Amino acid sequence: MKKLAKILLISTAIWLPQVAAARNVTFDLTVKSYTGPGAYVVVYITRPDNNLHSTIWLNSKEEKYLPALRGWHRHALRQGVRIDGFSGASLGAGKSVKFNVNIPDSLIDTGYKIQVDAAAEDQGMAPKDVNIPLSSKNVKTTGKRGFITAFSMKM
Amino acid sequence: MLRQLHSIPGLFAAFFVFILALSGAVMSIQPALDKLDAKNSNQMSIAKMASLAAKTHAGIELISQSANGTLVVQYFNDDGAGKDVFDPQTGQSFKPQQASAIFGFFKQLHRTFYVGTTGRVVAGIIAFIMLLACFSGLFMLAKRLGGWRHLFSTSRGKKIPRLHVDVSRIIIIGLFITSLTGSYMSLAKFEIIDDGKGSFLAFPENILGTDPTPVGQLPALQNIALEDLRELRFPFPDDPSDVFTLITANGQGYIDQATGEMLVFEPNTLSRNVFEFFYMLHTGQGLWWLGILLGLSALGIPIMSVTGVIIWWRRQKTSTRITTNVAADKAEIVILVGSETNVTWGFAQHLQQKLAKTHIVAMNAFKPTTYKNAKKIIFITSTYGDGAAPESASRFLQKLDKSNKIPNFEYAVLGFGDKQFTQYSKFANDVDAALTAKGWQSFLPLELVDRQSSQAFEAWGHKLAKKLGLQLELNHIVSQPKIFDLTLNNIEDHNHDDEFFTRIMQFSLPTNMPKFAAGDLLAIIPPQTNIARYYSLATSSADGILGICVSKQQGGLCSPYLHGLKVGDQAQAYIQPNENFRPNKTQSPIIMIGAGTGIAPFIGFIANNNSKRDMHLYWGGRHPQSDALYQESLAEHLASNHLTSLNIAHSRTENGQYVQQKLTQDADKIQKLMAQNAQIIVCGGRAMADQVKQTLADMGIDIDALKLDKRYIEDVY
Repeated sequence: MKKLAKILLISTAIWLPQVAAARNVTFDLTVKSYTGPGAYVVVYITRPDNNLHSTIWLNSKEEKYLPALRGWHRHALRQGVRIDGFSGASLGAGKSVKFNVNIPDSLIDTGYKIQVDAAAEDQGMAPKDVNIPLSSKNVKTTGKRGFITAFSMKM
Repeated sequence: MLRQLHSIPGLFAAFFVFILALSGAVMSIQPALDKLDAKNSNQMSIAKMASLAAKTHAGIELISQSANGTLVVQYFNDDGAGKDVFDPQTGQSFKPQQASAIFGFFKQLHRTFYVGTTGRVVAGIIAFIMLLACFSGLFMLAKRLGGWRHLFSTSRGKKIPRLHVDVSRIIIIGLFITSLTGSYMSLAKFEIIDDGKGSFLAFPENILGTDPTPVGQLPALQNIALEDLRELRFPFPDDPSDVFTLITANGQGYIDQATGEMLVFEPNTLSRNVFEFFYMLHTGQGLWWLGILLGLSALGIPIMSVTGVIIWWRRQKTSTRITTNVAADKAEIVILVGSETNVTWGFAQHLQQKLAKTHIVAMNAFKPTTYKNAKKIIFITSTYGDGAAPESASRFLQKLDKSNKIPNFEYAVLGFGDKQFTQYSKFANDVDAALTAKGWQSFLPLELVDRQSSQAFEAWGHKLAKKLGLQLELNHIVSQPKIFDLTLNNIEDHNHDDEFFTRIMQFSLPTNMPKFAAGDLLAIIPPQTNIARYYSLATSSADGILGICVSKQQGGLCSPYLHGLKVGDQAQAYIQPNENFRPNKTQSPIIMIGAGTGIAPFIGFIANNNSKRDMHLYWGGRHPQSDALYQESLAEHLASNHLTSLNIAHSRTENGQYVQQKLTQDADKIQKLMAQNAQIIVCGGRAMADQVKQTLADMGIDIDALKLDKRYIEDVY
């Protein structure tokens, strides 16, 4: 059995390369209300072949809880991913978070997808709760499983 | 040391412990509730259960089993996401699985006090403090009850400490488990201890990637019993390269969804197994009855916290006196005290508080070899009665006799006494003479203080200061109790041979007199003297009267005065409490042994025996016709079962005998009573008390051990 950290750090996956032709995209998401400790959430981009392209937002570095982010974790185990750039900030029940990411033009409207996994203790797992095409249109939606109660993407 | 180790962390923790205990108690019900939803699985395989569940639930993603055996299926299909509790025999859901908001609330309170990581750290520290308190408490308990063998013997003492002890004995095992596992889980949470959770099975490389096989036909799941299942994760439906993830009680593995073979399986590490075991003990998850027991134990914690704080607070109030007592081997000055009624202690402690690096101790604890850094030794002693040693110095002269080394330090003696006695401060003189005879060097000549004179004490302090080369102002004043004028309203005289007079006297009770109990002392101040004489009270305030029993001492000061009083006459007196001379507050038997006027307090004890506990009185008198004291009352008490047995010895009759001989005759009975934790109470003259002690010791009764337990108490004069 290997430590996930090792898999993650020796990974060669590219994490959003800095390219000239990119757009600044603003994400805004809200998790459902419940009683209990904060939720773990990951936002990531998948390729047209459904493999992981890059992880754009992750709010936990505690390895023992990462498997709860099932969809993403499966990719992470298989492909490796860099997590050292992410925040460990907790996202309390019913709370929102807003963040900006530069996304290369080549990923937009070309079959790439934005996916969001979420989980919390005693609340179950919600893999791919949000699963939408990475398009140039502004999007406002809710999670299919109801964990993410509001999600928006603006560029 | 042990006590500090117990009370200081305990106080700090009390508030948080309160919260942890109550939230823990609430959550302790959860495993039992969860257990109610667990259906019998009749040793089926995981494959069988999973195929049933898959038939009744489209889009199945996950099946999990709680430690209590409840099965939950999670699915996602055209109707949305769902999470149900289901029966493995049928695969049918019987209710949606919902996280309880109440348990969720208390769980978070229990873990973090709702202040995040700081709260988690505090909770961990509190768990550890509770663990310490369990250990130190256990040792204190053993000490208090007289050894490990007596750990479950009846506890004694005041109400609050007794409650603390009794509750602790019930909950200590639960508390130990809870605090030990809690400390462990906190350390695991902060990754100081490895819980085996941080490692994951690497994703397998050799996935077939063809069409999936129905879950019921997967070979890898055929032979694993359902009871071992923790979690079975299904592959994503649109992803042929995904796998089944299986977590069992023994480890975790991946199963190829096409071939159904176990691609890889890793057994749990030792640290993982340890964590799961501790987790089960702490939460009761998987051991619901233990959870309930631990929850009930936790309910005792608030009682422990409150009584613990009260005990600590009371001790703070009473123990301010000897707070700065320097250890014997470090002190430069040692004060040795001979005191009968604690008045001399008061003076000695006043001096000690004004001096630096000073050790103060009773003269009976005299151990010159331990005074390694001492430069001066100061003896402060009163004299008892007609020149005898006071109680706290009764063995001093013998001890001094045995010490042969002439010490490096010098000594001084200060005597307290009453000039009206012919032997004014005789014991102080004796001590001084004995020290000189031993070759000890004096640095200040013997001084005597008459009748607790503050001025004389202050003057001596100035002389002492000069010798020590420092400033010293002693201003200790003995607090005088409020004195009452009592009216004598009943007399019962006993005398037969005109040689021996005993008188039972009853005074009316002034309305504003402080409360007292039988066995407390009535201090009577005879005219033309300031020194009170003490008489044991045969009554308590509730009786509405002050009763004493006085025998006339030839040449005495006070007893002839009392014997001369007539009904209606007045005497000056006050109450001197005697708290250590009372029946203990248990229901164990009581053996009262006394002679002569020593019967007085026993009369009060018996009269107050409303619970009718076993009370046996052994009493020695002179002659049935000369001192048949309290005969009628005793007969009544026997009839009403306030008194169990009455054993009287008369010394001045034919074949006369003493009370100790009665005891010898009744040795078997006394042994039996002692086995029932009987308390022995002795009252009377010193000679009689010594004989009684010897007689009991000859029966094999360990009086020193009983004294520690307050099961042997005496009031001797």
